[in-house]
Amino acid sequence: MQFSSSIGRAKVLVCSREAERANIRPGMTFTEARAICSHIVWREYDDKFYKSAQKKLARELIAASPRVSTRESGLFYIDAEGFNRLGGENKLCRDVLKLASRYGFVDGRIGLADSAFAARVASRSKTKRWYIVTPDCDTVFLSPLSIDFLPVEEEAKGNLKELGIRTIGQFTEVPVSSYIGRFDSSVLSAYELACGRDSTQPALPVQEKQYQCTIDIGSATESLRDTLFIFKTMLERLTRDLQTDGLCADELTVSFFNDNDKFDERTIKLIRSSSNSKFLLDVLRLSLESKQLRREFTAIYLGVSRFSKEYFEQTKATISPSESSNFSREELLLTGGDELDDSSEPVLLLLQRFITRLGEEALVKPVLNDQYLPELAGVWIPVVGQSDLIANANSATPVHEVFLSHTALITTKKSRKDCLMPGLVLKRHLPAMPVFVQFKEKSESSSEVDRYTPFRPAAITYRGNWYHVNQITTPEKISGMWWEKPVRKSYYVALIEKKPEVAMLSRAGLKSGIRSILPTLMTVLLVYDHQERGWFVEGVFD
Amino acid sequence: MVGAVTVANLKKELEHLFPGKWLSGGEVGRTLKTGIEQIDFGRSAGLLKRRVTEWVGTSSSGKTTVLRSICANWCATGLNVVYIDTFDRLLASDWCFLNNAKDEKQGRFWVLRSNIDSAVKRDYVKDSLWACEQLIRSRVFDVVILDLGERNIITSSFYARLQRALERSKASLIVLKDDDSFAQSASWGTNSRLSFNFARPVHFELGLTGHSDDIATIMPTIKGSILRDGMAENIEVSVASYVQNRLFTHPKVPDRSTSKTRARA
Repeated sequence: MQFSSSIGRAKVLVCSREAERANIRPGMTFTEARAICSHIVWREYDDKFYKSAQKKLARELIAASPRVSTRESGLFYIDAEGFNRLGGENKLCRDVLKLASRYGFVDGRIGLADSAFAARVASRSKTKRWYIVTPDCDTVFLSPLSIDFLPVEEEAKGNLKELGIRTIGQFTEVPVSSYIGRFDSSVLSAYELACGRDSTQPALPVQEKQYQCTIDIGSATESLRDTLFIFKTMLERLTRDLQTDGLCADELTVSFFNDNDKFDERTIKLIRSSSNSKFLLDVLRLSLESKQLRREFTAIYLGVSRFSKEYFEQTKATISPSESSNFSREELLLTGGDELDDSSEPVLLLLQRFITRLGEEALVKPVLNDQYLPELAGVWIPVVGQSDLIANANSATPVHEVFLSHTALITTKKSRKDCLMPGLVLKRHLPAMPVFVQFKEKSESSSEVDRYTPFRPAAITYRGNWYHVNQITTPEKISGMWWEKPVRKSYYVALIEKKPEVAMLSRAGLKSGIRSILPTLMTVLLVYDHQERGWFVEGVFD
Repeated sequence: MVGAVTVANLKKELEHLFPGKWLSGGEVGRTLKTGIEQIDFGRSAGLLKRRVTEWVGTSSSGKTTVLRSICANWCATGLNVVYIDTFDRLLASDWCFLNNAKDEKQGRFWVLRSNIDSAVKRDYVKDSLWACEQLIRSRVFDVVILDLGERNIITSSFYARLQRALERSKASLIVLKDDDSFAQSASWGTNSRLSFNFARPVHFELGLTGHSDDIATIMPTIKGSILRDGMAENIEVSVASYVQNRLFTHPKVPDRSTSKTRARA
């Protein structure tokens, strides 16, 4: 599942068979999926992690057959030729399933056929864990099956069904010339597959190049600063190799050894892929400086644990009129310099430093959220790598324009007062502070408003002091979130004032040199939680 | 004429490389205007760049409200602002509008949060002070706001460190403290002190019924004083009312209806 600022908007990319059985399909949002299946379990999608797991399993499957290829996530092509004298194809299937289950993949399925497509369809057999198609009978096997197995768009499938073509057999009965010009290339390639002509073949595994180096210093060293030149040399070698292969480092791993004992290993996730040794050295230095080593080290291992293909991006260019001359000419400006450009080196180094020491969610931006509880009306989005998500979140918040129209600054020169940003800023108490409340005594002539809001606090405790409630707003009653954690709250904004006797004591304290951080007049967010049946001060307006 | 322009450009380049040495006071723009008349044209004449300003007031005194308004002005003029929220007290919805403008020239508003976790023992104040120094040294931000809440524990040596970092940057540091606003002198190492507190008259807006008990919003007046070079000046600001943002929005309720494609049992 792809992560989004709000989990509700996250989209399903891949789902398990069990989820498919519950009618969950890739492309649905999390909210839609949960509406269908309430006990859905979601996992964040990590493409690189899945690919590395797949490669790892493929390396193990070589024990069963020399030619193994990986394709889409969870799909392997294994050469099954020449196993007649090695126990037959059934034994091969058993061996492969055993091997896979040893690594936790216990629900694997195998299809065995002349062509890769037929084998893939055979692997979807609901009754058997492996299904062997009789040699030279791929078309016979495919013929009665539904065209839903063909790798074509849903729209094309619908069109074929409307033409009365429901099985692969019916699909291949019609000559290919009838499809040319009427359907797109995917249908034509599906036609080839349905006829048993599939060029996909498992290949011999290609040995992956690993980018790593180890240096034995020879003597025990404690200082990282003294070994920076070693890191520099190692990085220069690694980046040269990466550049030759057109790759960039995404993640570095540094291990420190004392003799043969590996006592520290650090994984440094880069916020931007790079093959620049200077940048990588800076990042490495910052990351290592943030955490001291426990003991001296005698050897260092440095490896590129994740890498990706290098890509090049055009620098942002804008054309603007020249400022420094009387001539009307235009200048081409390239971005950079003092602007807070997320991709500029000072910003990247700064972000890398914060991520290493304080975590990825330390530096954040506020973004509006589609919720009406005050604490959920905005969310903090990490600055690193979230620019696309922010754009999505903005587009999904209809309140944006309305709110902005209220935020213009107004200056009233007559009164020499500055009309500030509307409203006061709330500073939360985490967790909300439970308070004692004294209520107003109800008189017979209670007003119209009191009938609807019977709880009218007259005084509350706040940090050990009784405060008289000077003014209080009509509560904003909000309930919802019944699909996650039900919330039922009444929000009051209360202007509270120290009770006279307490205020007098505070003044006496001030005179005697004791400073008080609690003022006499405060505006607080007072909340009655109907679920918890308690009064809380959720924050103060500061 | 052309020669003068070239020399000025050269000076700017050198100033960029070795800050604080090549441009005179007027050229470098030593003060940061806030957009609030009393602060910009009063005794303080704005906030000084490369200096520490104390922004104090008791808890619930209106100081952050004033600061938010000023941050909005700074962001609107393209300045980059970072707020170090040591105790995770800010509410995202209060600050969203600062980052939501579609104008590309709009400055950024970032917040550094501690992400307080009771299970993990960490010195959040120490991390905040470290982060503050790093943010100043990075020379990426124009204004760094350090909110220490009630933990007013910056030592004089750390003030000196911050000051050294500021001298090599273009930033202005604002230290926000929940403190006794009636203190008569600024802390050691700070250039000026602005103190705030809520005061009367308190303005109310009545709700839909119009009844005197049906209050929709409460807006106290914010009074403040500027202390600089031993001289003090009082200011007064008022807060405009607004309707809660969330009243306009309706959250998406998940569709619980049975899917049409669900197979019938």
